[in-house]
Amino acid sequence: MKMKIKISYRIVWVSIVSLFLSSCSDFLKEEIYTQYDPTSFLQTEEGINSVLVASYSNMQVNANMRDRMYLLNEFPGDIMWEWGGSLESTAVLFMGYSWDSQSTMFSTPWQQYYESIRNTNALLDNIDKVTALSADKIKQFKAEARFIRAADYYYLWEYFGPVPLITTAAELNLEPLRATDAEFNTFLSTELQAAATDLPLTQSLWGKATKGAALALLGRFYLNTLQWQKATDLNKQVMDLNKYKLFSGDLKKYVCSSERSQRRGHSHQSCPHNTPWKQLHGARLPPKLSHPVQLAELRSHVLCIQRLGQNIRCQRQTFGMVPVHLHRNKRESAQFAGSQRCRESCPLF
Amino acid sequence: MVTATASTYSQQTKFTLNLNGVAIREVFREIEQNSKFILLYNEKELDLNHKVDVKVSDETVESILDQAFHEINFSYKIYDRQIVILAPKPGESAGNEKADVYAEQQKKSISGKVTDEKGQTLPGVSVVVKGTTIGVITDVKGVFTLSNVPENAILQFSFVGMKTQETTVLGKTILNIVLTEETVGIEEVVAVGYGTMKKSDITGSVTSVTSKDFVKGVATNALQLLSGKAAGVNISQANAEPGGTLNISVRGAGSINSSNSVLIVIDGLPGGSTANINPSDIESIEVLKDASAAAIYGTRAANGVVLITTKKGKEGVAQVSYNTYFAQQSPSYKFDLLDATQYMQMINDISKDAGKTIPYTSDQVAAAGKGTDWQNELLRNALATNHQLSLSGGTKQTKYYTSLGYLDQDGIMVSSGIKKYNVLVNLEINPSDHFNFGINLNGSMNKKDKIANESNSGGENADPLNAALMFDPRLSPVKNANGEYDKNPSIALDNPVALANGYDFREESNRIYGNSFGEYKILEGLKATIRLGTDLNNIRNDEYSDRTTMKGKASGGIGNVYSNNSKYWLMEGLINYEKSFGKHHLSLMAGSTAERFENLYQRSFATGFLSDVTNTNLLQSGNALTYQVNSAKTVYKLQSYIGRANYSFQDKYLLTATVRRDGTSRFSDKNKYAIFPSLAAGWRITEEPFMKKIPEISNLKLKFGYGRMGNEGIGNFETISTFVAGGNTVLGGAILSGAQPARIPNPELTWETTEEYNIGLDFGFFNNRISGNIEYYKKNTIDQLFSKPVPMSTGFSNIRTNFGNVENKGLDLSLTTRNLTGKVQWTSSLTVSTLKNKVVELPAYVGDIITGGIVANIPGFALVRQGFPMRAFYGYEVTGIFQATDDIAKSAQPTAKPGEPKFLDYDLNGKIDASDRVILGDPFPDLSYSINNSFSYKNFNLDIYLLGVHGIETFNANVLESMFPINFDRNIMTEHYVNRWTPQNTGTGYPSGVNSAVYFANGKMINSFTVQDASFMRIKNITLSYNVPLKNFKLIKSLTLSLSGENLLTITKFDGFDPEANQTDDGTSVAKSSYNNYPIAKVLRIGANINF
Repeated sequence: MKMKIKISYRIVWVSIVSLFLSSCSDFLKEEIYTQYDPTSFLQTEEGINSVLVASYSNMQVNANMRDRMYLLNEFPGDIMWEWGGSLESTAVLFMGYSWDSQSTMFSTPWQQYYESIRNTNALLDNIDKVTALSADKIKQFKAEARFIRAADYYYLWEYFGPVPLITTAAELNLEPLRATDAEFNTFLSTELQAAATDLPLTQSLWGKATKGAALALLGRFYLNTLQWQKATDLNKQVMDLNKYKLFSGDLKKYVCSSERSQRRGHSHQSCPHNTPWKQLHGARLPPKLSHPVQLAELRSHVLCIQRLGQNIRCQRQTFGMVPVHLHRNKRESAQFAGSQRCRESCPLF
Repeated sequence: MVTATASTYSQQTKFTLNLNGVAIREVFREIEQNSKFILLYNEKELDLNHKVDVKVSDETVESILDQAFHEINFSYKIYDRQIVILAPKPGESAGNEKADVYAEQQKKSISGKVTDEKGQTLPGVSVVVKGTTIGVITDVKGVFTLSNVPENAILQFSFVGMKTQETTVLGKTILNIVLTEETVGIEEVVAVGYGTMKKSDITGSVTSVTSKDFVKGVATNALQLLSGKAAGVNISQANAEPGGTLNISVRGAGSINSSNSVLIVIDGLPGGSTANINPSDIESIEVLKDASAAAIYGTRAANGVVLITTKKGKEGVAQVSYNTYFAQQSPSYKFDLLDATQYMQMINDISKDAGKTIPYTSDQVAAAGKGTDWQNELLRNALATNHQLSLSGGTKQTKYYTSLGYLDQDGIMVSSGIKKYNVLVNLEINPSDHFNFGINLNGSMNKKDKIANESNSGGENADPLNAALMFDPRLSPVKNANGEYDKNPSIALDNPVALANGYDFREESNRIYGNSFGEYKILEGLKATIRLGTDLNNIRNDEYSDRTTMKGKASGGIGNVYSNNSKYWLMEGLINYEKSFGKHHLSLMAGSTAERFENLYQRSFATGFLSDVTNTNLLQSGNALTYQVNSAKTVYKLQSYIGRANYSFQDKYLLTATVRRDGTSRFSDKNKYAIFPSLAAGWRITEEPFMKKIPEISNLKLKFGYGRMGNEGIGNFETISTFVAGGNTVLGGAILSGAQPARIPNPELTWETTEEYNIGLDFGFFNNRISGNIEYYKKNTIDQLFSKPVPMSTGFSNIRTNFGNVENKGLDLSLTTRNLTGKVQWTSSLTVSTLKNKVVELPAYVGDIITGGIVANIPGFALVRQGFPMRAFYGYEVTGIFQATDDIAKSAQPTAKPGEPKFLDYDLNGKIDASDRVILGDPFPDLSYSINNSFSYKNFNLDIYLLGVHGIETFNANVLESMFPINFDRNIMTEHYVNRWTPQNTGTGYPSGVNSAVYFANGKMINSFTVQDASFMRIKNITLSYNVPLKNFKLIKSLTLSLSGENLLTITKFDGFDPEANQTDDGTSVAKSSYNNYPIAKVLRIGANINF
């Protein structure tokens, strides 16, 4: 009897210990709490929406309006300069053409647009695996993501010309190559056309991508790449949506009078408040701002900004700059493009 | 007659000898060498040089002795393996030599007293005539009387825990014996991780410190007990606040970007905290220093492993013991700052030299007096009391140790202190020979009242001590008529007293940890163990700044509550097998463990309260717009297989191999598991027969080991893709929250791995009067975790990868000498260790890594560069002071003025710029040492403990703030004013102080003034204890009183509260800086230890 007890103890013990020695295989699966597991997160509408939100967010290079508009566009030209003020250390790079890749003026948009591209890529990589949503919804999400990604590339193009086209987050491309003009052209055409096909005419949330936005953006790209016929056709398509009309209004209201500045005996621009001109506080304009081309350009800028100024982020989504790489060599056409651009694309949103 | 008492051994052991005309001495040596016989004789009677002839062939020892004693009539008696040689009685003829000595010899009575080394009488000692059953036990007074003892008998005294002692009674009637404690010598058993081993079998580098060798003093953290005791283990008090953090590094530091902290294992439970254990409950601490010893802990071993074993019950009657001490603590250092008069004088002088208006008139200066010493307003003498009550004992079946502990320590800075409550239960039950169950349960509650000591902006957020060092000495420390503390607006610092009292910072931690195990002996030598353990820890912090502080006033009170709730469990199964086959001995261990770590974090914050009285207890009464809430939950898991094999041959050749296969939830399926092997060999040279000829060498063991260990210092989710909240935008007129990918997952990521070689020699000479060991190690930490930049077009700026190599090498020596062993006993212990740390390889993409940043306006000072020690101090070398006679215009600093510092133009390009920075020192000591001298005489015991480090530097931000005040009206150190350069005082080494904002600008504040030598030697402890003789006192078994002094003297060139302190908290514990660190206390302590 005693022997039996001993043996059974032995068996129990050995089995307990061997239980301990064996391990269950998914014990070491990483548990995720404070972050989102993409496999489940991207299956839900909220998940997909939040990634789109972050993509929109990164598409808006914030707090840089002054820098982008005036430093980049005007300081390398002969309209503006700056000395002695707090802006000088930044402006001097552009007055002297000494900017480099470390300048946040360039590194920030480069980083942010590519972050936005990363987000949309992550979404597009995953969206075909989504089973919980209707095909229509998926189609629309896809179109929206493709629009954002194309818009990111468009804005990058405005800064840098054709840039590497990264279209998936699944593979890491550590040695990306710059796309050719043709590749870039094809990419933007295809993507924006495809997006336009699936995007709705209006969105319930103001500020989200629409069919008109996709077409107008492509139209602007054609305009800025001097593809006149295509630009005309595309913008005609926008007009034919019967949703938008050209802006009409009094421009003078928004333009600072340089005569008035002169009368006050100093070169500092005195601008009415609550106009985008207040962005120019701190920067100084030459005493005479009378050159017709300069004035026209400024007017067109202001016009654009004001029209879109209801939402400052909107401005950045829609208001294109004179591309830097065009700035010196193709100044005239760029100016033309700039004013055209405003007239054609501002009213889109 | 002889054969009747001769043992079987003497009958079985046969000799073949052919000796002609040799001394008896030689014959005896032959016998002893060729057998286990021990010969005992009286040298006064026996002429060892007497020449004899012996010729035997396969015969017993009796034949030899008969031949040897044939001429001299000596007789002998054999008791097992002992042979007693007896002189012939006068008149006795050669023919009677084999007569029974018991019957024939004169018998007598012997009495005496047995005491221990401290002179305490020992009752219950067994006194036996060797080889017989004749014997008695000493009485309560340690006295024994034995009658009928033969003249040549040997008496054996034995007592549990004491060394057995033998004495011949020759010619004596009174024998007073002093028994010595069983020395923690060669047969000591030490913990090695997942088991114990005989110390003599250990092949790795393991330092074991037992409770009697612990550093004495007020200890809130168990690591304080180890300070300086283990060569190669550097323990420094980073923050001397009661309950403040301690840094421990074992053999340098290997990781550049991850944690370098050791793994603490308490009673087999990994991951414990030395702050939550009562130091008085600790029996021993083992440090697994090298890879061959530590690799069994795999991914957590790279920075060394500290094993803590708590006290266990022993068989016997219940022992009640009460320990207490009272300690008076006082500041051991104060900065010498300017008093009010000097302060005004300083501002006047520097203003004058700078060509500015002099702000104070001489009347004002004369009237200022001494003013307020702000350090005195914050520092105080403080009391610490400690009580510990323990109960232990047990039977063969059940053994127990329980203890209650209470420590109440006020800090030497106002509004700081700790209250610590501990309870420990250790229970072991052996219901049968086969079963063994145990439970170990530890509960602790730590309540800390903390004082801010933080990296700060140097402004109104400064901590009180920082403010005190720079505050206006003319102001009063008490509130003014408006009920507010005075401030000097141009100093931009809050009043130090307001900061100390108006900012309430409390931390409470409640921790329960412990484990239970069951052990079952399946077969002889085969044992299976399971262990379940847990560690539950809640830490809550409450911070409140009331309206007496500038910050609190501006916000209407600031309340912040945050808590961490961590849970841990462990399951483990082990199988042990042990077997001897002849001269071979094998022991095997295999097992598996699974561990889960979980942490919950929560924070609530508000400002703008109705009133300060609710403190942090009613955060909802704050302004709702200021509410901040945070929460987090993190989990990770480890699952491992472990194995160890020990093999020894003839106890001479030792081999140990261990392996651990660690798997973690943190790595991808690709690299989930990693293997950490180790191999070590030992050779006990003294076990070799040829060594027996050198009795002076009592122990010699050569060890060699190699192993690989991992560093788990890596965060969750590094190898998988996750999305994190972020990227909000406005759509449809409302803010929407976004989410985006957190990182580029790198599934290839693997552990930082440390490879170590260790070679060591354990030695003991002259019966271990001199003993110790010396070890040399070299370890390389490879596959360091780095963030490798990637093209931004990926949408990320970097990816975590493995790269790089850091090397640590050094020599550890520990030496113990028993200088005097008589009435006055004197033992010295010495540890010395050297360390060389070097960054061997860095990824090309990282360039120079410069960190520091203890305060926003102080640039980085710690450099990681290939070929140099990690986090070396990097700055400008000051070569002198410009004099009016110097040709300044032609120097590298053409715009400098006389009195400004001259910097080394390292690159000789004629200007001083960032490329002139040089290595000014490093945070690793070249040499660390400790010396302990222990004296005892009668009931007195005196311990003197010294420790020090040499060849270590630190960045001293307080010196920086004095020499380079960011604000002209701040107070400075007397030295920097009195000894400053002036046109009259040109021989000094200090600059003029005029325009320091210019001459120390652009990072030049990191220079050879502010990087200081932090070498020191400290009289850490002197303890005198007295064992009160208790005669006829039944209630108390023993009473020991002690008086000790701690941190009595520190010899250093460093200017500051403590050269050991460290303010940098970058997670790697390597970079070193000093900045308003909590001052170290000088302590006077009286204590008592009573056993009932």
